[in-house]
Amino acid sequence: MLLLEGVAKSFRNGFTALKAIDLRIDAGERVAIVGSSGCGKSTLLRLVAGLAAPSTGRVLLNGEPVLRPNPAVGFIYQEPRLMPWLRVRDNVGFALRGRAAERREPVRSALRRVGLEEYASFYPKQLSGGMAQRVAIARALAPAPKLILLDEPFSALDAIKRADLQNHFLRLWESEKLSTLLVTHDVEEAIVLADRILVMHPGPGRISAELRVELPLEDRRQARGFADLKQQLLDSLRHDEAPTLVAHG
Amino acid sequence: MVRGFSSGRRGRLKRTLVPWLVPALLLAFWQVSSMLGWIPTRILPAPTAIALAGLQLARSGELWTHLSVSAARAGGGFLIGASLGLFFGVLNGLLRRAELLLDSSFQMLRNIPPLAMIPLVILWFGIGEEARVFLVSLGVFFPVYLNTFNGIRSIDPGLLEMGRVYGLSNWKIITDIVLPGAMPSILVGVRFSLGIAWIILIVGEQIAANSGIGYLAMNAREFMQTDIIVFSILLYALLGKFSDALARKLEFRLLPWHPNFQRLSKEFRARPALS
Ligand SMILES: Nc1ncnc2c1ncn2[C@@H]1O[C@H](COP(=O)(O)OP(=O)(O)OP(=O)(O)O)[C@@H](O)[C@H]1O
Ligand SMILES: [Mg+2]
Repeated sequence: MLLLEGVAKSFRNGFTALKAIDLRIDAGERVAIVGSSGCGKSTLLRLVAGLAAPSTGRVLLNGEPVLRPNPAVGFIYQEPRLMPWLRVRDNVGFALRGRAAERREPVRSALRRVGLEEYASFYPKQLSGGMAQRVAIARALAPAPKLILLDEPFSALDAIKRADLQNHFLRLWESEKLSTLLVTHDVEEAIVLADRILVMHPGPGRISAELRVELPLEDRRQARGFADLKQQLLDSLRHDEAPTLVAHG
Repeated sequence: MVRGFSSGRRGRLKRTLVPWLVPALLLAFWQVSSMLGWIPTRILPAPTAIALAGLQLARSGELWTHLSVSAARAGGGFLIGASLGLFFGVLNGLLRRAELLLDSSFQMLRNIPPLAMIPLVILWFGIGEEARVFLVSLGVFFPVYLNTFNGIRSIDPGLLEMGRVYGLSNWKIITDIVLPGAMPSILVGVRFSLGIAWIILIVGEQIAANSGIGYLAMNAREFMQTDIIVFSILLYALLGKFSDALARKLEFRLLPWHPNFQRLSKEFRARPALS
């Protein structure tokens, strides 16, 4: 479904954010990327979304090079990014083409899936942070995308809301069989929401380790292998720090 | 929760009446002082005399002629100045190149008070309508321009990127994200400039005009008709208040989503402003 081959990204100021990234996501697969701040995770997502072009290498979506944003790819950010002047239903319909009548049903269905049907006529200012983020998820779901990109989608929420939304998203993913590429700082979140976890390191950003999550979908936090996996992930995140420090010193 | 006024019908009545208490008392005091001869009529006629003068002007039709002339000048000048301000605000807000080319010139011109231009404007246009409309447009232009420009520049870049993620054309991004996003700021500019339009018009009409409310006042001065002068001044106050109310209505209509203009629930309305 998604294929990155030898992707590198340097900015106009000469800074190289990504180097030699190879990545493949199959249909229905859920992949998480964890990495320290500034290692190029968001940059990677922007390349996949078609918001920026790679300096070298190729980004292919279903075999086609990604040149511009694609309706088959949804994007969910850390902030909901709702238009304050649009009601919830119009924010969700924002991603859709076609006449108002044609948009009504997909909007309603997307709101139903995030459990916010009754809030269709609210303005974003009237929603709590968690509800606003669910509207953003509904907006991403409305055009029936094949791939969803999530850039630290739950990190602005408090712990309880975060766990709620993670569960919610898990169920959604199960029922829709969406491919997802999730970027997060939160190692636990990566384990709960992904089948495969890639560890990224900075200077310049590259993928340095890959872990498979072979735990049952429900209640992963309580599952037996959870703690081990978490430790393994934290170790590989730390792993590269010493050499980086030496290189800078 | 601290409540300033009780809610319900009595509370509402109180809230409408209390703000008029001080003006009403002042008016009564003024009337009584005039009647007792404490204030000479030549300095300040009694409120009743002023009301009578206004009534006579209304009856003779003079009032409506001058009023409509003034309103047309303010409205015309406002429309021209605000459209240009909006146009250049959007242009410079969107295009860095246009900003580079134009903004510093605008900033320089902005520092000239429009009223300082009066002698020059009279030389250019004489004392015809163009002079006053030009002055009003000039005064209106800058607040609308600046607020439009700032409104556009302060739009959340995340929202603009959202538009790109969903493949909106540049034109759609302007009409569906940039303009609504800048609207609160644009309307602040509009409201501010409406006030300025009247101020400039007053001065413009008093210095060089043969119609309009400012002319009415200056003409009355020659005949020492203090009542008409005071009446014209009150008229300006009313007109300013009226256009401000109009601008606020516009804000309520166009910004139902904005927290400042949300139709407040009863519970919320009952709360005093400072709690
Ligand atoms: N347009 C740009 N021009 C120059 N440098 C940039 C640009 N965008 C990002 N960078 C740099 O590239 C690096 C990677 O940025 P990116 O936003 O992808 O990191 P990240 O992994 O998402 O970090 P975080 O976890 O803080 O979100 C950072 O050092 C950033 O300063
Ligand atoms: Mg990031």
